[in-house]
Amino acid sequence: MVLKENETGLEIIGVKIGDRVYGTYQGLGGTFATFVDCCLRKKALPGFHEKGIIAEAELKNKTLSLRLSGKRTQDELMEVMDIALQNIGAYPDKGGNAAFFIEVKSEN
Amino acid sequence: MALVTSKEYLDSVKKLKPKVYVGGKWVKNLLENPITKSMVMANAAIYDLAQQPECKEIMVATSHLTGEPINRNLNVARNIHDLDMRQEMALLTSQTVGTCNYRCVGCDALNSLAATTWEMDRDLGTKYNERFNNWLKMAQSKDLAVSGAITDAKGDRKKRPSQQEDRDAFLHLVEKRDDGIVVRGYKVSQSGAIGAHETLVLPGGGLKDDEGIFSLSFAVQNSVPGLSYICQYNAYSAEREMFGDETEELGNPIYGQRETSTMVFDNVFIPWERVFLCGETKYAGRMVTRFAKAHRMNCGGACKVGFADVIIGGTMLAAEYIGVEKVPHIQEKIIDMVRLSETSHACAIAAAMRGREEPKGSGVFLPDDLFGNAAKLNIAHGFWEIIKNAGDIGGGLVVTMPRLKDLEDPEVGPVLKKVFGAAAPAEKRLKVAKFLQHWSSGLHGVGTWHGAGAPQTQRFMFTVLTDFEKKKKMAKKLMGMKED
Repeated sequence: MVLKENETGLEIIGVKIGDRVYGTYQGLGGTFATFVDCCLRKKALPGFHEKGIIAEAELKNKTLSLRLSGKRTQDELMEVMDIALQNIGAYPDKGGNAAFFIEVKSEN
Repeated sequence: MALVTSKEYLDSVKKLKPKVYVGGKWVKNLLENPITKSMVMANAAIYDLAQQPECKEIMVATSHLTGEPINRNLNVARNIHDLDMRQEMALLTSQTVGTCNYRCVGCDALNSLAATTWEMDRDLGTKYNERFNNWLKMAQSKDLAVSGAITDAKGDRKKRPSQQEDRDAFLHLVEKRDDGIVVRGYKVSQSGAIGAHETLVLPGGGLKDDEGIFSLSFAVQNSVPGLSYICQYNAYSAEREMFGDETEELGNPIYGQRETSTMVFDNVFIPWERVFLCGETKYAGRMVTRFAKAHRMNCGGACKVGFADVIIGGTMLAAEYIGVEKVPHIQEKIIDMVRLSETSHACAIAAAMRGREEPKGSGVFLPDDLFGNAAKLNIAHGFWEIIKNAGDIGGGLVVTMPRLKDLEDPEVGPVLKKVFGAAAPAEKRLKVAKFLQHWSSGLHGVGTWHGAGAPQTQRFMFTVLTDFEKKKKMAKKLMGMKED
């Protein structure tokens, strides 16, 4: 998997919950790759140290599909993603064009 | 948002969830644990300094990448003035927080990286400098707190990194992938990483050709899975935990002694965009040497001078509170403290003034090596003398005092007030005695000795940097002795 930098060296990641993009985050190039590595190889969400929070994770092209354990509302899912992304150096963005997406669902 | 306020920094820390272990437990919230909180509050105070108009010249610089105002802790020195203001920033920060300048190692590391990645791109055609500049632009635009991790665990010192029984003794490469690298191992005695948004990791020393897996430099985010921090724990940690919110009992109530941790990298992924050295052993030593060049000026000749300033102030108060401030030998000892600290500061200023572009064409300015090493070696020895005099003038009370709170005890309080009342009330005497205890009986003596490299490394640099043959020739010429 090769994830290239854009011209500014930054990349934008969109967080999708349901059909809606709930938020966008900007980080240095490689931030999405780091997030994917955390979820697929480490089976961990940045900033969350309890085991088993990721029930399922799958990468297809530039979209990471995540199913989080337990029952969570859309707002709660977004809260989790906000912490996870900021803990690997992705910060809330004003809403540029996302090159990568994280689709999040609750287990139940 | 190029200059972040302390509030904004504290808000960002509330979202950071690093895996931090302190004294038998995992810390869930850095601001709720009294030990980790002291580190974070010191960083917050450093952010505050950049907001104060009277500190602007020292604390704020202009980014050479964007032209925007930035915190000097994220600045690459581009001229002599930058170097001079850099060491003044270390002085001012120490005078303000009386503990580690937790953004300092990151600042010196990024200056080394600016120089060395430029050199690698020129020599090898790599893209390290471009990557580094992208990272730096991002860090500057967010005014991130950046710390630095240099020292490996090192294991058996008789053996080279690859000969160690446990390879983790030196941080090393585990896997090289298309999208990045996987690293593991330890970095020790690391100051302030727990409350930093990012840490710059540099090799711990020079490496041989076949030691490429240890030749690594990268920027790592605070809370990436696989990275954990095991904090130091000592009598001062226990004291801070015991007193909890009653911080007025402590020698440095808000900012604490100095908090360090061991960083444990358990197969941590680092994307290529954050990798600034990977395998090029020839440049590992240069990277560390350039870091040390900057850090010895700042840590030795400015940071510890700021500590000395507050110790001298506390010592003078202690003398006044018992009415001995005009006694000649007391005055002489105070003067000695000033002499020792200002000599180091003079070396730091000289190191800045004699600084030069390195490598030529890079646009990066680094301090003079000899004067920087002189600053550090001088203060390593001088600091023991300074805290000795603080203990001497402060008296036995510095280590025999009761708790401050005991003065309020209905039974023993009135007695203690009589016992310790002198030219000033007992409250003031005990407060300053605790302050001097914090310095003279705390962690700073050994910390100053080893910080920025133990004195033996500076002695070695003196042998390398000094032209002894030239000195012998001068002596012979003056004596009228013929050359052999």
